[in-house]
Amino acid sequence: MIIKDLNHNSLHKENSKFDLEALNLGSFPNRKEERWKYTPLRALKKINFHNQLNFKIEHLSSLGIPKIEGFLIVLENGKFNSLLSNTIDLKGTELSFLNGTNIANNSDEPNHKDYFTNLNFSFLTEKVVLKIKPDVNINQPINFVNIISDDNCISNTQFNIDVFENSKLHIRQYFLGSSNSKNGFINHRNAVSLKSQSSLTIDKFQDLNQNFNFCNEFIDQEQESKFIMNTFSASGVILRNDVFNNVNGKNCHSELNGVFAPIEKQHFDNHTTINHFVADCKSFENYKGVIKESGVGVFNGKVIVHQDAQKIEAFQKNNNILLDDESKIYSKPELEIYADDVRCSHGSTTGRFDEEALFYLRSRGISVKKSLELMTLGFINEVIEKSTDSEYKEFILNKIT
Amino acid sequence: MSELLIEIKDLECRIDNQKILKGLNLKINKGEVHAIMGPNGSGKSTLSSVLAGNDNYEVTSGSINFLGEEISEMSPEERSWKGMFLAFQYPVEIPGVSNINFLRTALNERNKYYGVDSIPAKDFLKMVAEKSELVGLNNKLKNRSVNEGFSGGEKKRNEIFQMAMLDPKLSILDETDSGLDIDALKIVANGVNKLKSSENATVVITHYQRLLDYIVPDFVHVLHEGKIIKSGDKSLALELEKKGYDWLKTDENI
Amino acid sequence: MSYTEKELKEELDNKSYEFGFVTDIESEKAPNGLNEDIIKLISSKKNEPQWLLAYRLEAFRVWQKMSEPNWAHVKYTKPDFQNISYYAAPKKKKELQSLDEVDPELLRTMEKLGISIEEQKKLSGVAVDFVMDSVSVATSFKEKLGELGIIFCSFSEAVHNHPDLVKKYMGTVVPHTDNYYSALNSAVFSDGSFCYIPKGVRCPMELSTYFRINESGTGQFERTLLIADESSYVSYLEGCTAPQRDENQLHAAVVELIALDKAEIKYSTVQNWYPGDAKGKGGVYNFVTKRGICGYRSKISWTQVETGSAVTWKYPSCILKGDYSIGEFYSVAVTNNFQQADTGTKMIHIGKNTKSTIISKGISAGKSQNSYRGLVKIGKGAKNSRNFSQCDSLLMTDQCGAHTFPYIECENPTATVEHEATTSKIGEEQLFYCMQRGISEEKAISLIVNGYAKEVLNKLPMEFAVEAQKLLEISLEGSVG
Repeated sequence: MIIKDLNHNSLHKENSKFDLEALNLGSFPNRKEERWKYTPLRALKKINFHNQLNFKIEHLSSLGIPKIEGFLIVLENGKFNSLLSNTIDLKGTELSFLNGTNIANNSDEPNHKDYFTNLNFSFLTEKVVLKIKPDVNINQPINFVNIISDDNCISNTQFNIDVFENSKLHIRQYFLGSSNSKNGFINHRNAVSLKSQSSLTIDKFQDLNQNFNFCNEFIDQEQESKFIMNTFSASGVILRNDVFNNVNGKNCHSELNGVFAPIEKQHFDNHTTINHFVADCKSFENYKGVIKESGVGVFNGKVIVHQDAQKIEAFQKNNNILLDDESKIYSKPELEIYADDVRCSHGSTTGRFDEEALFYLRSRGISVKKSLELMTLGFINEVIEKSTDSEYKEFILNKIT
Repeated sequence: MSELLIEIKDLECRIDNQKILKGLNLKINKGEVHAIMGPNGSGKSTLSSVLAGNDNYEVTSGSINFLGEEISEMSPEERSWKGMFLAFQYPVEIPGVSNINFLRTALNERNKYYGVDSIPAKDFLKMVAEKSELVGLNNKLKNRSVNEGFSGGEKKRNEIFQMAMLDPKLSILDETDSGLDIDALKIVANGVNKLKSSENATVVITHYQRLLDYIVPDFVHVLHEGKIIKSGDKSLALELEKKGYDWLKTDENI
Repeated sequence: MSYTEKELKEELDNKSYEFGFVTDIESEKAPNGLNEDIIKLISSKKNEPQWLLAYRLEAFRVWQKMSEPNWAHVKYTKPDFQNISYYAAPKKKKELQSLDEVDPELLRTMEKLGISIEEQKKLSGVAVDFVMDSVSVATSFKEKLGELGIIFCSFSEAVHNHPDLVKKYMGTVVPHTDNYYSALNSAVFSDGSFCYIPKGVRCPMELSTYFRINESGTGQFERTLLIADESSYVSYLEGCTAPQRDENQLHAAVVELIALDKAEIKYSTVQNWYPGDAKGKGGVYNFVTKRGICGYRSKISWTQVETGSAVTWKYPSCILKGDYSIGEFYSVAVTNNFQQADTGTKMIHIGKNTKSTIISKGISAGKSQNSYRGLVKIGKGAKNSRNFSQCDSLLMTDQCGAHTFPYIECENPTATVEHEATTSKIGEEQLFYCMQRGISEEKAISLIVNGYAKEVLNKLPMEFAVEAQKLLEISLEGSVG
């Protein structure tokens, strides 16, 4: 992998060409590593990237998403696009940006030193920080749109979300690739901090077309906080989500859901780690894979219950449907339990649709194609239902089935 | 003059290399109610599956002519569009798909086939309200996933409700009475009777004559080892109830 | 029985395993270290043909280029391979004259396991009295097998008497290049068992290594090769429930099963190697490679009860190559004190309509770590294949760990793969219910645990099952936190 015309934070050399292997980012992941066992990165590795920060999109509507009302932050090709954004002053919130040479002042440290996190920190061009003050309930969702619209552009971005005590927030994240761009790469990092009794829901939607998107996500929860993240993966050459959810306080609720639907040799990989450090918490995971037309799906969920974290209830579920001969799924639901008074379970199923059900639908006059669509809908419904907004639900369904 | 609805000739079929139907003949006219009875394993449910087009069964010879058209190679959905309806013995559960959505899709698919506009939501809902009353289907059930978590009786009622919605030409009720108490049985039978007209016909597949007290057949057929070995009017059902099937098996028909 | 539960618990807490019988073995030992000369020495001591020596040397060369795997969820001090003696010819054991000379604690444990006096004598190296001469039992047993054309002998004997079979099948299921320990085993294997069931023969009795216990002695690097020819059937038992002490710390066995078309192999293991003391000192490292390959409509069924060893690393697997073949894995793994087990299976579906079932029951007590690691792979051509896996873990204390690492790889859409796993504490309500009915806590635990493991224990041959049940009980006594 090569990046030219780049802004490298520590070196501040512009318009020069870098061979990334020469930088000290750690070794480029390969399939011998357990975490990358099922996700080959050849397609990504052979691309020569640049990070010139151009704007190309005039209207968000060209990206196939519904009209967004209210608070909106748009990043395009690694840079805040104020023309497309709508950052009205919202009571109880604080929004700030870190970019240009100020990036050197980024106080965060990569807490997970893998290659892509290092890459993100080294070539970071835009960091958005959103703070919700204590006792604030934001009713309308806050929208965060991250676009790649330039061929071969690498976008290294960060979004920090701090929700203070007793506050509540709903975020919709869109990772989008314009339909005429290719070989772009959004390498993004979300860092979430939830103070006690706060609540955050993130709906994340990925529709990258011919581009790549990796998300490293770190969530720290204090006591009695609630975190829900729903990830909907619709398109992209390789999509990779790495969620690290650390539960540090008692009586927390953590919930990770997802639907991933790769087609045409797309490769979607969901990795999750839920760390239960303290007692009396609950976590839920529910990922659904709908794999067709040579698509490849990967699910690797890990729940770790540390010693002394008693009375944990953790449930993990991954169901997959393979719809044609060339599609593949690799599922690895893991449990690591070091405390005894727990109730943990996981289940994984892979198969095709029940033939009897298919016959039943057909006997009612529904064509095979339509029957499969209906059954797909039924299959992913459990996760889609998590969203309460019917317009958003409809949009996701259309994109995914 | 009654009009022919379906004619089954010398029908033979098998599943997993095992022959189930061995030359079955049956003619049904519009406006008629036929009952098919017979001991376990005689091929009753196979007949209903074959008529609906379940491709687990292979038709090896014979023909099924439905409204002037040979249908034995037709897909299940096409048969449905043409007016074939099977009320399943074990209605299938489809988690995550609501009953309402399921039926609307079914109706729209049929409309699409006939080049008719899809039914407006308002009309559809009105129709749902009307038809569900027919079998006293609880309003909540309509919004729940298809058959999921339904009791045995609710599932059977739901089948009749779907039958009312799709308004078929030929309805095959496969052991619709199994697992129903007498009150539920009356409701189901009542629904079926209300849907009866001079334009459609009903086939009732059952073990017991009990159901036939409520859905009165014009003809009763006895199926044994893949063939109809005796036909008669409704008195045959009463006779079977009294004597069982054994007296027929020794008949020269076998 | 003049033996209280409490005494037994104490005894087991300090399971010292210092039983008299092992110290009496005199043996001719090779010097420590591993090199080509040592391998040549092993081969010549065993009077092996040239091809086998060549095989060993090739394996050794491969092994030298490999590094010890560390992906398993276990921690231990890596063995120093140059500080091990790779050849020790067993000399005749000194026979004890009567059971009075045997360590009474060992006898008590065996009594507890329900092992008969005769077997106790045999297991503890006491000369068996003339009325019940086990040698003659074994001999008549062998005659019977011979009549059916069944070959059942030590691996060394097979090398000399049935070289064609050995040459044809050895290394075909577990190649010497497979992994670090199988390479090591292929280079230095001491001895083991060989078994061949001819076409269409149903072996009339359970074949047990037990019958050969005094014939060859169990070595550090055992090798087993079992071939079931077309349409044959065999049930094979390995190990025994009696505690086994061995001065060898590292055990790296290889077991290869070949089930030809329509054959069935049932392979049962009870493993009870020395697990180390209550403080976690000592104990056997058991790094085993076990694998079977299935032909058309054949079946391989692995059943294991694992209670011993300090570190276990073991994945009895099935390659379901033939269409309609079936693989099964039933396992109970108990870890106590500082034991660590990383065990499970691999089901590789290659043929069409292949079926596999995995039932794994882990029980962790003390400060032990117990992991299930399994792979279910549905290859592209494995149409209509099915797998069902159920992996449950039961935790007895708040200091132990139970982990599940299933790998599911599905490349054919017509396959159905189901995996379920649960982890929970032993049910306090169940315990209370039992105790309220007058059942002691220890007994209640054993009742519940046996119920929990029943699905697997039921798969064991009858006499084994009874012993295994008692073994579970003993392994877990005093383990509730």
